[in-house]
Amino acid sequence: MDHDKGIKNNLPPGAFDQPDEYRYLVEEFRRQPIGPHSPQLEALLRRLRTEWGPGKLALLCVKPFREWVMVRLPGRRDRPVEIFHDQIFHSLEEAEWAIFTQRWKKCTGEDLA
Amino acid sequence: MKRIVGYGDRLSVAPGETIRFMVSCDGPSTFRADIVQLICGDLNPDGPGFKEKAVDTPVSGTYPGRVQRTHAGSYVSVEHRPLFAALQSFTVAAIIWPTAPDKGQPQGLITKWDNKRRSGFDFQVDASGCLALVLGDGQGQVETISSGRPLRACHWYLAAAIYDCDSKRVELVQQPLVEDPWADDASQTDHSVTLTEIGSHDGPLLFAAHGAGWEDGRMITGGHYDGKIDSPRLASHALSKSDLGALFCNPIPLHIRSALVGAWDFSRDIPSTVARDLSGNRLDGDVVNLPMRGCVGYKWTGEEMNWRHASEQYGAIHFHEDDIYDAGWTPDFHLTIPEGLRSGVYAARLRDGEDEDYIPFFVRPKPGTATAPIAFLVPTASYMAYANLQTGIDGQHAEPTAGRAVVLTPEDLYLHEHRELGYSLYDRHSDGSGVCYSSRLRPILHLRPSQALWVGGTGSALWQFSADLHLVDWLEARGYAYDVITDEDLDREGYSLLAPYRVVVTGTHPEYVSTHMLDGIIDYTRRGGRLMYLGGNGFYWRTAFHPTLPGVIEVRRTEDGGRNFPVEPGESYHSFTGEYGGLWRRIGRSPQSVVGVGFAAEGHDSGSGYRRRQDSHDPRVAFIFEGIGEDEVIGDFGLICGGAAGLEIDRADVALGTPAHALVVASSGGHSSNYILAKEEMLSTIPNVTGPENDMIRADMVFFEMPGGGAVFSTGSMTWCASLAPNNYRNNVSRITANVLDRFLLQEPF
Repeated sequence: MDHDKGIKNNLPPGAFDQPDEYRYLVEEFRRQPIGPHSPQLEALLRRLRTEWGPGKLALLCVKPFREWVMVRLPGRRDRPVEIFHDQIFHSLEEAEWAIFTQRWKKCTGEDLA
Repeated sequence: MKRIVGYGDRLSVAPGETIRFMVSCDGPSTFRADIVQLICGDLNPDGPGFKEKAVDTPVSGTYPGRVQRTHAGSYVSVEHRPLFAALQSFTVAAIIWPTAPDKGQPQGLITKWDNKRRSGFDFQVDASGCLALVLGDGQGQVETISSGRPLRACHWYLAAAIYDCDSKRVELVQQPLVEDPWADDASQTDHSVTLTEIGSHDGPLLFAAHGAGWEDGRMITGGHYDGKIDSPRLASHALSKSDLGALFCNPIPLHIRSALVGAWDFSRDIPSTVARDLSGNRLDGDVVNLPMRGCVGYKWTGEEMNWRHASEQYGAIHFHEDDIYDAGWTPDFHLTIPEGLRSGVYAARLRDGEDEDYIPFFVRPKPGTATAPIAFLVPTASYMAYANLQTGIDGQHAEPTAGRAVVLTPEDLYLHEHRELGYSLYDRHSDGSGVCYSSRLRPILHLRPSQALWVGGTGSALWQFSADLHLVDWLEARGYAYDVITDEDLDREGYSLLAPYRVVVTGTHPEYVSTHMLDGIIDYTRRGGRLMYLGGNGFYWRTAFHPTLPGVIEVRRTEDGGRNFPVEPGESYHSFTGEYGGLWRRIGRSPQSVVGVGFAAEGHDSGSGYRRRQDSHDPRVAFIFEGIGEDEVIGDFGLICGGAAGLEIDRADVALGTPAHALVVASSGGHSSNYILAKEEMLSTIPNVTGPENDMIRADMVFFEMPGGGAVFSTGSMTWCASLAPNNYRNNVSRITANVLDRFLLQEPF
């Protein structure tokens, strides 16, 4: 399954062609991955988070308030949630940033350090 | 991952009464069970911690573990009669509206089929989505006749199969009621069969499923159909195709009637679980697992919206492969509530060495009695509405709504893998239609003391029951004597349940309220009672309890309000009660008129504090603000969303019913752009719908007196109770709550 298609197909043509215009929002998100955010960043996040179709990234809480792993939602009821046991996070902020960077990469092709 | 789960046969139980517990334990050969009193379930390291007290009861012990299975899927069962055994030639017919003909599995429509022995007949939608008749002789020979033309989803069809045992011919009729010249979905076919006889068995005649065997004395069904069936018919002759239409006439012509075995009318007794047979043979069926009734049939004209006014237009039942009422597990142990056990929140704690589960229940005082001046009204109807919410995995809007990544729990994964445990009233069935019934007679994994939910905001992320334990924890910590009563008790007993109490306190999100419940609460406040509404988005959706079946509610989300699916046209009236569904605000009994505030907005990424308003200096409310500074921000802290005003929040509005004499003593503000105005607050699309743009997005704290000496205090926020505990329960949210509760406990009238 081509998970990369999901988010890209949901965006209008030309979206994120000039990622530099969002750079300041990326930095705002890097500073504080969990809200509240500025209305501009909230708007950007809503576009990124409204990811249709299978393959949406989410988190599974493994140890309450201590440990999370990344998962991929199946988009169907008869398929399992895919669990990435090697992508472990010890804070929700860290996990949010990891999801954000993956989506950013899909939209812009750019790796965020 | 989860491997032990269970449920109780009741949520509310009084001393002397017995509650039974059903457990499924997948793996270990034994599990341990104990009864505990629950005080706080929050695992947040910034909070008071998990608190439970062991209760010494005969339950404590080790029990054999076993897997107990749940069989979802609704159907009608007509028990076997000699009439069926005598069938040789036959005609089966119905008007159908399939909703998932393309799901790739056979779906029984009218069946007298034993799947194990491959015996009888199974009139079905086949795996290709075409109408089909399967015949089996029970000796290994099976023949399938298919229309060969796929049915279209959500279109009405006359569906019939005619079997002539003399000529060994089968005629299939698949006739759309509204023909579409561009669709190739009409079919009338005539086939010969070689089967010498059709197998006979004593299994029931079923609609919307076929028999799949027996398990622990229970009939198991399979081949569940998704969609509507209207007016199923069974005749003992091979009728001519030209006579099929007459099967659906009222009255059925005499020459057809003489061949009639059964003519079921689903528009009769809609609130019941009986499918009436009008053939004269009294072949009434049992409606199993709560398929949707009170829904429009093929005769619906659009001129009447209420099934009570034109029941003949509501002759359909909408069946779903994932409907569930009672999981029907075998009890593993039981508890008769000891006479001396104080009212409170309890649970059966199950442990199997690696995994654990809690099955909560609420010990109330014996009916007609109270053992404390305060009643905590546990919003069990709302717990049931949210039971097994799966929108975190299924819903596309979960993440932008939450304002952060969806955080699943092992319970969410278990529910995803066990879809047979059914859905919440926010989910859709697998065929895409909305869920309108929710039962508590199944494991409800979101009704657990520590259960976090993706929708529960930042911080503790608790929702409903687990969040309500913050209030229990505070009552315990502050030493208040309280009873626990539930929505189900209130619906059944009305005002008399509340009458003995000086103060009634709500939970954090008492959103789902039946007419009887609302009547009881309004009576209570008008007759001297004091109500503390310590939640948000309460008293919102009209809810119906079933008139006879225990433990199940219905909600028809009519007209407006935040909904994950719309009510279908003509289906706005509850099947359980005949009442019009929807927001209480649209039914003339707004939450503002009951508690002074009503749903204004929701957000999940943060919370806010309240600032005092001019009204807070009125001598009438001096008691509320004793010890609170004039400019003090109230509740700019908390375990959920970091503020006492958060998640779903309510505002006062005289135009919407807030009493004119009510004092709006404090309001929150500065909510983030994740906060969105409630849908019913927008008559048309408006541009300013987020926190920073719209001043209607706020929580109002309101007080008003009632005639008769009673009073109402409301905080209008779901996160209020999550701000009670910080600083060892010494903070201004705790202070205000105690100030109000202490005054409300005094006999002195307002």
